[in-house]
Amino acid sequence: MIFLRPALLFLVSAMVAPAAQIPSIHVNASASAAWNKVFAPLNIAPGEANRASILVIAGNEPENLATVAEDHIVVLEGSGSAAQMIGITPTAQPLAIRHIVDSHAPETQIVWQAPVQTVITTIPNDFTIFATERWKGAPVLAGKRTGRGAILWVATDPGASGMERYPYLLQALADLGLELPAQTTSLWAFFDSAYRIRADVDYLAKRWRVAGVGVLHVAGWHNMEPDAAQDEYLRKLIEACHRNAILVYVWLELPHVSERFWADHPEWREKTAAGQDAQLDWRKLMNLENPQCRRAIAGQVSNLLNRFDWDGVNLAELYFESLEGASNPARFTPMNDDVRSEFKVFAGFDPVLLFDPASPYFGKKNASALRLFLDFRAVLASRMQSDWLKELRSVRTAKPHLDVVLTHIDDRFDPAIRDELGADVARAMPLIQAQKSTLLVEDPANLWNLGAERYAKLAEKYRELTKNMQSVAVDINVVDRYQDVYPTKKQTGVELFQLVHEAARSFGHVAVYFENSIQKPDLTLLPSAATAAIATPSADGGLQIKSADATRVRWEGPADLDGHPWPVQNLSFVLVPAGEHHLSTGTALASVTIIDFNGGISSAFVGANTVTLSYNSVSRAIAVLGSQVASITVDGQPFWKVDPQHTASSFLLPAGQHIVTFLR
Amino acid sequence: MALSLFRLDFVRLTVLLVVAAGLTYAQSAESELAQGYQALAAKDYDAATSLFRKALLAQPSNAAVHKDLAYTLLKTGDNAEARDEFAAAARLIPGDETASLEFAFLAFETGKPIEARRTFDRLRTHAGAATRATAEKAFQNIDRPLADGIARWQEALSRSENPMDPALFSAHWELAQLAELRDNLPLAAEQYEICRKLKPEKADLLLILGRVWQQLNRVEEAHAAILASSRSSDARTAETALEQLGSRYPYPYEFLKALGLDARNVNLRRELAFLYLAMGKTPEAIDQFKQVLALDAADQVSRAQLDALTGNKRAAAGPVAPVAAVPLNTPTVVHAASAAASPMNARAMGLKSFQLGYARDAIKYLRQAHDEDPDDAEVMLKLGYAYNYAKDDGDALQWFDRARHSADAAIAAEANKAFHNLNGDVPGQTTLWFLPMYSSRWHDAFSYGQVKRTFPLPGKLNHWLSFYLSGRFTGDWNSSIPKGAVNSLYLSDSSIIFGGGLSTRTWHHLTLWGEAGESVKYLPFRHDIGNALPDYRGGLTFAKGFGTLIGAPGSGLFYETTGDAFFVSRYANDWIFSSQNRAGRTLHVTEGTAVQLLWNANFLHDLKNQYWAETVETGPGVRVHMSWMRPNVYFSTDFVRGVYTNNLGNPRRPNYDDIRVGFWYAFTK
Repeated sequence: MIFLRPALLFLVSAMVAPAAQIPSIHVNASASAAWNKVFAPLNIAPGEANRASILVIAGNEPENLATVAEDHIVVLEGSGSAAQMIGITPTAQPLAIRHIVDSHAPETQIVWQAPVQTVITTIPNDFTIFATERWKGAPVLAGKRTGRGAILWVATDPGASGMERYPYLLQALADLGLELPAQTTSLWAFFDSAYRIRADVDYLAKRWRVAGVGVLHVAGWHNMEPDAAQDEYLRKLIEACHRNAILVYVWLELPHVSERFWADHPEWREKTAAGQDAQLDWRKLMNLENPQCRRAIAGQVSNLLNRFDWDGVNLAELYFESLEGASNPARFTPMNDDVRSEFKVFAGFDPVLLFDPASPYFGKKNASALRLFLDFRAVLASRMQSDWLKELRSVRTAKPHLDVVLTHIDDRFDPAIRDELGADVARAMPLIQAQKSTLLVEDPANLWNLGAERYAKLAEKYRELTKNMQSVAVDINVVDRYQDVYPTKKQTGVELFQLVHEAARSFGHVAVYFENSIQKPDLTLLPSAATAAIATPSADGGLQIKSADATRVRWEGPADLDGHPWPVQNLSFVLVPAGEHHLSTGTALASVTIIDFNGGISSAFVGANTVTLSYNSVSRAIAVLGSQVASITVDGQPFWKVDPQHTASSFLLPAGQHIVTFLR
Repeated sequence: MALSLFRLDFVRLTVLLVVAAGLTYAQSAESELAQGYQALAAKDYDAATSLFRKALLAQPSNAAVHKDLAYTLLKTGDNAEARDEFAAAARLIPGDETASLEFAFLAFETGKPIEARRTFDRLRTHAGAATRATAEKAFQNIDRPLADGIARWQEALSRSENPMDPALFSAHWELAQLAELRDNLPLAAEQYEICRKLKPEKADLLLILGRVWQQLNRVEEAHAAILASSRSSDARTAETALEQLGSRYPYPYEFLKALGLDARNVNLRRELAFLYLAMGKTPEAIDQFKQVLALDAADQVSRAQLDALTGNKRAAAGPVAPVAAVPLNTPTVVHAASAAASPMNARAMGLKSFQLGYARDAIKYLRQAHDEDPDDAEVMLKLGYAYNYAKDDGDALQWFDRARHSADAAIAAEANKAFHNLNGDVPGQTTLWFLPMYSSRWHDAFSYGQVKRTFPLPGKLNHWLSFYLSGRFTGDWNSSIPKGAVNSLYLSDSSIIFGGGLSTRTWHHLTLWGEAGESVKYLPFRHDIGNALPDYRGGLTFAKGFGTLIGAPGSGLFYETTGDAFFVSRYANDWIFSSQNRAGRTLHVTEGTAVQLLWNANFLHDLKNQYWAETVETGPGVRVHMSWMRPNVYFSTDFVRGVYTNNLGNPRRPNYDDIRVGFWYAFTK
């Protein structure tokens, strides 16, 4: 038997494909910094010319381009002699490029902030044209596959930051065969079911998981009041997510409760400084300072949490309106009777007078009076957050697995936010830490036009508040921006990948708002951009993986992790736990295969008929099995036993640190 | 004989092959459909979507497949795509209320609330009972919050001490958006204009205003706004505007109107300056360059050009560089100086000069290129354009003429169009109008109609005149009843009049025309008219409308007037003078449906003083155009009271009341 293992190893090595190649890039062009910025979000690092798998060439070399392109991905910039060598021919017709159309998203308007003057170029017939100039239809991005490589031609350099000209350049490379080794499995995404109630929840859940989603934050206000059809849909959605290893958190937007609550309780509506009911954008705000109103809402929230099988709660944006602050009374809250009375006792005047030009307290003239109220308001917002976190604590006694997230707009990067919204994240932080919750930082709309670098700077601000950055997440709003932004109104392609990647490198978790605003062509590369994992090839043909989170690594065939058989894999990927690990070719698949797992695996042991995992999870963990098991134990206690009447392949495991054993 | 048989067989074979190819194509589509439904049953939505899309390539008019594709896309959560498929199905079968309802709901859910509201609005009045009820509820669900929101923001602004406070921008913005969503376009325009005053730096506001003005039928302002936006320094606004602008290059007066809206638009003003320069209007160009420099003293291109024009020493420094910031798809920049000659490719140099707007350089190089290759169609076409830009239309016509006879079909077609446009040719067209109506005054139903085909005349004559053949119909119901018929006097000739004539091109709404023909009666038992009578007629016509005419989007006041002076031989060689006037208000009911409430004032007079042609009448009327009607088609009802101004021999004197119910149908092709 001793000889059998090496023989098997040889046999398997011969059968399976070699371990995933780790792409690297070498740029032989003046815009090398820009090109590196294009590829960095996909963890494609600069490499030596003779070892890099992707070569960017702008000049006249190499002479043997066609041969090089046989086993490399060659990116050709412009129409120099290197490009002409393979039939890419410049004409004398001038071309000013300011607006392009890309076949990956033909409806998306791609506009360059500054036009680039070049000439129309003819492309060989065997090239696929990915993008053209809007007015003349001249190709600007085209490519073709070669033997084991590809050629991608691009009319100009990618622009200084790498994202301002060809948003879908990386998708074009993926079409031409670029494969990436590592993907995240822990992306957070927001979901509003309102308009997608006819969607097949299983289809959506699968798509989300493939895109790297680990936690889905589902809008809770549509289900605040029981409704048979809505509730049934939500139950099915949660089940589908659990079947696909996605945890589901209820997303609350207090003081908005629900449409019905607003309609039923006009007496509890929040007021603006203009004296109107506070219906601002889609949110209809209630007066949380009114004891009766608060009790009623607490009852509704408790009912919502108990009616569904949630894994967590996201208490989002619990402060006041609006981003225009006191300068726009028609949007300024709170100005309900309870707050006014409380402030009058505190300060001696009615805060409404801050907006009365005839009053000595008129805020535009009496800055100290306004300051008094703005500070009072910030304390009030913090008190509200504390109160509602306490409310949730009472629900957690019945459902201890519920994780709690507090979504809070950033006021560290832009301190004016505190006065505008009453939001004070430094004040909220101790509450969050006390509850072992996660802070989800939302970057305010006025920062949405800044580059990806803002996330690193933002993270620095939060390191001043906590050492545990794993408990701080960041939210990326993928929406049409109101600012003059280029090349696309909504973040997509290279820009989106830069944002997601920089956020992943800087924060414990990355959330995207919202799952449906991500453009379809971005979904394939999103999980690769959203991981900060570093994969390097090792001498034995395996991979060295270093990551703060569990990472899906492209792999075919049996795998060993750190020299031991590893059971968490499917046909295409191995799930590598957080930390630094060595992945190598294994001898055989485990007796029990776990094709997906949502939770922090510490270790795994593969026995003859068992697989044992040690894991740690703030909420419940989810194991999705690829083979049947007879029973499951958790910490040595029976957890589940096979029941022919109730087959199952995914299992919700208890929150916390546990040892789970799957017996075949 | 053998050749004929061969030809016959060849034709048969070709037909068979075409039929076979068609069948194969159809079978392929059917097969894809079958596979699509199998995939759908297996919940393989991606495959089903792909197969349905392939089938639709072969059967784009298959509404059922559009709908099934839409339902599949709903399963995958791709609601925007599903919306478009329901829209396609509803277009193919306008009566498909399910598709229309689905479209409306999805339009609302996917960020097209205006279309949603309009569709629900249409369905709540023009659909079956069940759909009407659903649409009514959905309409109210959209409309009520909009109305509430408008009221709320109006109230908030009214409470404000200074509604023009820049801090209240968002209130005006919200109000404008809500008003636009609710099709309250005057309010939307007013609020967007305030927004623009508060934030003039927000480039897209002018484009938004253009959109609203367009819907308000403020066409010229809308065009000016779009033109100004297309030259915005904000690239996205400029590109979005260019999408809407159309391919015609604007005239200087349009530039001036645009500058009226956006006086600080340097790109726009600089381009106008270069346009003036190209047109040889140097003083105007200089004035505009000066204004550009007043706005932006650092504008090097304008500075250098102005120096060149005014003889400043710096002009000697060399030619002016082309402007980088001008719109990219229009030839805009004109160079005062010649580009340096180059021994390189004359064609390339010519095309490049043309591209940059250097008309004279382009002509020089393109002529050289033409000498090198006389068959190069593109060179001939570009020479035509270059001469046109250089204001040498005689030469331009010659080059377009040559290019339109070239072998390159695409270039020949473009050149042909350019040739006729430049030549001022008006193509032949067919006009049909038809007016059945009932008149209570005559207790009779009448029908008038004409079909007319114009034919271009050769040469310059075509600029002034057109020749036409015409068939007119005039008849009534009572005359067609042999016994007991009521003679409706001259209101019906019960004839078809075939004729040919000449008319002038319409000039300042005036048209002069003359026609000769034969009037043939179609009622054999009617003996008060001859079987076939020579018919001569002609006269001068004036027609003009003001304000929100029927067919224009939005509501508003209107006035229409027509004046005719015409000779008719069959009415004893009489001259008749008629003036018909209508004024009132057009009410936009739903998208495509409008009602006009109007007041008529008509005058009729003839040289022979025949009592029936001597009237003054006035009274209210209503005209209705429904969304399903073609343009220029409407129902009308008028209630007029008339006075005969000559009662000599008038059996009906002195007054009359008349209710006229008619249907006007007209089209030109």
